[in-house]
Amino acid sequence: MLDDGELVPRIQEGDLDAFEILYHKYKDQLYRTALAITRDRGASEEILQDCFLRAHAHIDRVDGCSSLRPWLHRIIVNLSYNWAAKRRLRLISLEDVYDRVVMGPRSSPERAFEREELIQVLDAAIRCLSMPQRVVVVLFYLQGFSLAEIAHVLDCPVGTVKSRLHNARKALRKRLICDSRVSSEAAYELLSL
Amino acid sequence: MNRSKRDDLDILVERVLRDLVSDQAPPDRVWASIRLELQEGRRSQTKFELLRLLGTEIVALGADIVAGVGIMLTPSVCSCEEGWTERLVLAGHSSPALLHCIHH
Repeated sequence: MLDDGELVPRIQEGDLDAFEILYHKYKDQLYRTALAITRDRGASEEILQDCFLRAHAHIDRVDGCSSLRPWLHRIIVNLSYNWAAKRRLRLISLEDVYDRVVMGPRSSPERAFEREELIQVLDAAIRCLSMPQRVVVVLFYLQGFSLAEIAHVLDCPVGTVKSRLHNARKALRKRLICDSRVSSEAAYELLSL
Repeated sequence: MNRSKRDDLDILVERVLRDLVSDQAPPDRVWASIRLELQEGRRSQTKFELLRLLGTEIVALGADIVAGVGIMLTPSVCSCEEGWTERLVLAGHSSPALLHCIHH
């Protein structure tokens, strides 16, 4: 796999094949980021498409010395923000994904049900986070960005990222503790999967 | 909330998020749309570029014609300028065709 430093000059010269390599390199993680934020497959596809069209339009601004990952994530996050603003955060549940997550091979029906409850509670809690908090949670937990990298992606101070993450954790914890459906056994079972 | 509880929560959130999207991938049609749009953009850009060049040429030609007509209609102040071709040559319009007209 070619690194970004080799691809960028080729793309800047109009090489569409090089751009396709770049697309295939980042498409999955960018799509998953958009999906985790929007919870809408159709919207995530459109956002991914817009993301790469914008990246292509502004590729001249890139020096090609560093990875394009943070820059592409900045675009996808901004587009996700725009989408959420237009839709006023009306989110669609991914019930079908739960089925795959909760049905482990060793699980009894009761355990599977409890795990499903826990996942649903946590997913609902994540969806209840404010958009800035959810974006930080997705970038931190799903994409494994450091706090400094998230600050770079979001173009804000590291302190702001820390604060958003802290508040998000607090809200998630509160929601989990308050929800009577979640038992400690279910949490343990999920963690031991 | 103690340290271990916070770590458990971190693992839980990470696990749930990753499980929700781990095997999700964009369909092939996304790249097909991107490629098509870029190619169409390139084609329209080429057409626009050609039109722009054509427009520039037309404007330049029009300016030359206006300048030439202006020179031809201006009363002669120099006795050596006997015809309109010589005036054009003296004004800097010394194309091979004009020179041919003057000398033949």
